[in-house]
Amino acid sequence: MNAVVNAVELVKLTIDGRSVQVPRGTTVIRAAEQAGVFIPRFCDHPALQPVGVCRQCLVEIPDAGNGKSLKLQTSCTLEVAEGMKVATQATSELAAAAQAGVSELLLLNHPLDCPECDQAGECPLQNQAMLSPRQVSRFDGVKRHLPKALAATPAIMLDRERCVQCMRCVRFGTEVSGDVLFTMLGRGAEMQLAACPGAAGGGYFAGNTVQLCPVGALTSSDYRFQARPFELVSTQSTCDGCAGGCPIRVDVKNGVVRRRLAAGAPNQVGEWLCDRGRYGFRSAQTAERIRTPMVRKDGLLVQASWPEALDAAAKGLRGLAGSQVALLPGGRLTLENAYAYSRFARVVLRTNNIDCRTRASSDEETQFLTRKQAAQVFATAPDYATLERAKQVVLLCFEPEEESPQLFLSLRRAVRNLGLQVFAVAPYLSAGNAKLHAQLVACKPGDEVRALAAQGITLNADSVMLVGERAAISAGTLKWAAETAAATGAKLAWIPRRSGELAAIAAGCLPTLLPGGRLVGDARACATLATQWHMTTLPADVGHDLLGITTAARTGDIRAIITGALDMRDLPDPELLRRALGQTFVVSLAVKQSEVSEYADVVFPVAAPDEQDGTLIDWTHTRRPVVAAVRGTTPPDVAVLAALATALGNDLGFHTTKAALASYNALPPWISVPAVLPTITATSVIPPALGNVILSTWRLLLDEAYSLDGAAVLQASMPTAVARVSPETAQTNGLVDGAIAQIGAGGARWHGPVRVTPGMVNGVVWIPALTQTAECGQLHALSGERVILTVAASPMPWLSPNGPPRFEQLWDNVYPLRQARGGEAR
Amino acid sequence: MSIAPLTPVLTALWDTQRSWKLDTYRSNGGYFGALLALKLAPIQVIAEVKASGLRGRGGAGFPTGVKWGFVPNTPETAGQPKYLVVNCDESEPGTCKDMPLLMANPHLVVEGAIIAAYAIGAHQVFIYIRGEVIHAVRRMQQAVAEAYQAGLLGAEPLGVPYPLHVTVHAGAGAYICGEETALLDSLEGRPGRPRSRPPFPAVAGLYGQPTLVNNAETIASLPAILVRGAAWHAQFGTEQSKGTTIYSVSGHVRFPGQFEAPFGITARTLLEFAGGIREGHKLKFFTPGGSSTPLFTEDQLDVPLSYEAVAEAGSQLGTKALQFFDETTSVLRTTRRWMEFYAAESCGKCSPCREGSQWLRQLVVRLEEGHGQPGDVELISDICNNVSGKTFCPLADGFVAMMTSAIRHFPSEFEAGYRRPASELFPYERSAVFPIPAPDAEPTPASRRVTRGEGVK
Repeated sequence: MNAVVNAVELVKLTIDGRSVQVPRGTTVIRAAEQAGVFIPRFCDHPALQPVGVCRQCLVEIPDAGNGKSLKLQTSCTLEVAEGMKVATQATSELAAAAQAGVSELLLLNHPLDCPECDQAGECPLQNQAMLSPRQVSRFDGVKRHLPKALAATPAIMLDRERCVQCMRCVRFGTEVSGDVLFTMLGRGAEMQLAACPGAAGGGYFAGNTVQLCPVGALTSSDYRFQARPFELVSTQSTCDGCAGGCPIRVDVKNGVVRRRLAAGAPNQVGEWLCDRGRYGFRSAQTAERIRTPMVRKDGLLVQASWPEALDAAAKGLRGLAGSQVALLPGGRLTLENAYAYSRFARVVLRTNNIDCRTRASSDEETQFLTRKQAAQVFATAPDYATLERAKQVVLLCFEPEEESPQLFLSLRRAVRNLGLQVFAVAPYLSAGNAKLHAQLVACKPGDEVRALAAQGITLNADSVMLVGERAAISAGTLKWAAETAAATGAKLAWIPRRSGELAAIAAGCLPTLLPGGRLVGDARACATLATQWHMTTLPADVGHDLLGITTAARTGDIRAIITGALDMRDLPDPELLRRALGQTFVVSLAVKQSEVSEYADVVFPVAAPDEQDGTLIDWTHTRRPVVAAVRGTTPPDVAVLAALATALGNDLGFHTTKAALASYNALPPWISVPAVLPTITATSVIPPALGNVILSTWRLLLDEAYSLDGAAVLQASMPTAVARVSPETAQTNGLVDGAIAQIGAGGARWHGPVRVTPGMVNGVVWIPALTQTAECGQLHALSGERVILTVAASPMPWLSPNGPPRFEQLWDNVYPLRQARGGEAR
Repeated sequence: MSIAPLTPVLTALWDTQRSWKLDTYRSNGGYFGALLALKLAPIQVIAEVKASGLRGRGGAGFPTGVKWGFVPNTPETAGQPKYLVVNCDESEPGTCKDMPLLMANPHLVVEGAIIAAYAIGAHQVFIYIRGEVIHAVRRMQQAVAEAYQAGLLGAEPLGVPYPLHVTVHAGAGAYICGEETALLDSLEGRPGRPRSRPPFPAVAGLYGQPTLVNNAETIASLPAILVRGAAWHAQFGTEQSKGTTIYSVSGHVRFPGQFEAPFGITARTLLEFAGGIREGHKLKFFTPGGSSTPLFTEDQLDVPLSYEAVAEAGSQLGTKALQFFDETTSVLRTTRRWMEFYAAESCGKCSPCREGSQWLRQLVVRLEEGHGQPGDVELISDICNNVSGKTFCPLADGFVAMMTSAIRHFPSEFEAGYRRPASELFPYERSAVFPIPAPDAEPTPASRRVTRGEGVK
């Protein structure tokens, strides 16, 4: 935060004759913005601490509020005072001359390479130069020459000639993200920006430094030389990378998305954007993109016309009873698309076999989510602002930096500025939680509640519990969280990793829930919905969840499955789904070909996230608009399902996303009476297994997810996989730091270097879930399952003790293009 | 004009045998001031220093007692760590007072540090010495070790239960680290770059704690004030600049060196102490307070050397470093050398200093080499104007003051740089103090000292 301001105490001052009232502690440059006066600046940024190094914002102070005049102050560091008079470049010749002088000096060593600079056209320095009264430089000496753009990280190119040493990127690292990426080396005119050796990818937020850079010193390797600002068509939308709901700006040239930028206002949510959100939009641009429907003929998927594909799908689905079909829409849909699935299931297929959770889940979680949605308890759920008022935050089965980066930044800001205390209930203190100065409550997976109680941490109305989706497999955690929230008044937020799960739950994509929190089997609730949907009855039996669907498919009870986007590798047992899909008639609605396509009988292409309008619901239960940045040739899921309904001789009720949202909004509000709500029962889904340690694992923000396909810069910044064990566990199992560990679970094996992690709970091994699977392999074991940890018999040569060979980063003339990955998994 | 007597207080022991040893110092009354201070209440010590009129000797001349008063001493801050930092990062061209002081009488600084630390409630002192002056660092380290051994520092210095520890720290060599906030950054292990103020170091300095930064000479002045009293100290000097101070006199004088005298002495008197301008030459210009103060010429020889009088005459007393230059000196060459120094020492944090110093260096170099372009002198003045008063810290104001005063006093010499190199107008060997050997002569240590510059071609 720029200044800790007391909203009550206002100070009145005059800027260029305009009177303005601002809170005490505000800097003059912020006050000027409020007064509508623009003061040029380079180092100043509303979200960073003032430093006053560029000296571009000099203003004259005819009256400092005490009757005395101050000459030439940097408006970014000077705080307002009652009765202060400020004269900016608009009214003070002295200030104008000073600013022109500073501009000239800043341009002294700046290369005149605007024609080939990405920043040209959106460059504050260029604008300032154009405004300068002196259009020809008086400098005829020797400019500073350094090698041109070097790869500071795989995603960021650094051109030190263009740098104006404003240190915004340096300060971003220390003040905002906590990842030290850049630093200033040398002194005087030799002072240069340099990437810190060992900073590797620079963390998950490094891309923000490119957007922060007021000149073209930091450019994005992903966007370089692709477009000029005047060629871009920009759209304000919402990022679909996670449930954070960050506002983004999507820039398109010639119908292709070129970049995404953070679009939040300063000091507001979405002011920063994580690298996953920033660069993770290339997936729809890859060769695997599906653009026409496909039908399986003689065992092969062949391109088909829309009528042909709809006929084929209808033929496969026609005549099946509601209990014989199932839908797996996936967790990344918009509210409109999820609602279409939900209504399609109930109206067209007459089934409640629908589950948006294509990941490890449990009955306990189903009960928790059902109860939460049906009782509409999210109306009092915490949001980003709650974190600023909270005294303590407890992280349960949740890694904010990996699972909800925007939330991580909000937490970090609250920790730094407001003294928030964070408790991380986890097997070890991850790098992300260390940046939150979190206190570790070390525990084995599944033991979270007991560990928290053992620490004697008591929750009250000033506490916030942030529970992640992994709580589903930690028996009793969700039950405890719900009960504790009710008993103590502590706020509780359930934060899924995927952007669409909350919308899907709201739309009724659960076997127990209908749209708007109506319970399946609640006759009064169903009646209101049936009226709205012009039906007489709705299927009244609770449907199968994901596990039930796959099991029923294997026994032949379910004969057809409609799937949305799902990644087999997310499932606790992919083999089970493979067999289920292999035995059933599969209709797949997909953006891209994936493993599901191999089992699909009919494939319908659908619009990618950047290609359709819609609504996302973020973890605070706030609706966030998604706006199509590109008009694609593939329809949204809503339209495909509507056409399929028609082909089946039925009517979905809408054909467009707009109409789908109108239909959803038209549903009368419903709050279930407590009597009908399900009780939450602790259930364990951890299969019994033999092993010497317990596995802990979670997905990292950057991993081998399908949605990150094509994002070359992210793949290059991806962390390397390591297996973490406590010193004692390492000793017990004969492991040393850097040795190659083998972890066995079922038939699968995982190999990777050991990182002995002090402070970690004993008897647990942690590995990242979907990272470097080609090198390390992938386990299909759940967090909390017993696995066999041994020293690998034959270490794999590419997994040398110190990780892959990497070039040391040098700041002098030799500055090799870095191929190193983004540091190790934290 | 009669020569005013020298007033050796800080320099009193400089010519005794092994003056830097603790025995020598104690047998001359050393550490009595510290003992007196430790018997007083801290507030009384501050009052005494305030009454003495002592002003900071680091250049700015800020009243020392007032500065001490900024360090919070309320009951709420009682448990808070506070630090005293003694600034011995002396590196202004021409200034040579702290280093001889450390070499000749390091215990004076240690004793002063005890007094100052006690006054502000600090239990930890850092003595920050310019790292290149390795012999001064070593001498200081030995002095501190001696003091610890003698029980003058540690848990009970001089038997008083006031734990006090002193750490001698060698800087890595940057002029800017003489600026107090840059010094603190450097002491914390960062690159030395000034911090923005507020907060002032007295409130949030080293490691974010209240910190007092005082110059070594200021600290060394304390024992005498405690022993002889504020009134005694206040009798020396002028109304606003009280006490005695060390003037470093160098350049084209017969006997360069340090002279301790009261404030208000004139440069003419100091010049007489130093034996006058070297034989057969006459004064051309001099700096009153180091290279970052505007130049004076013969006309200002009678300006009393006090903060107020020198300021009135258009310069600053600064670090009281008088460098005298005779008529053989090219002012262009002098400013070039100084400008190269400042360009190299600019920390780079703020743009006007970083870029301005570089540009000025390039311009003055080409003028000195005779490759100047018509208009360069006006351009220099204009750049100086663009830099002056617009920077983060006073470093740039220093070189701007030096540059503009040089142009004001000797415009024709600068303009001559459009046509002829300065070395033709002022052959450099003529301004050399030591004889220039014939080209075929064997190099001697003395000759190396001269030929290191570019003067001999």
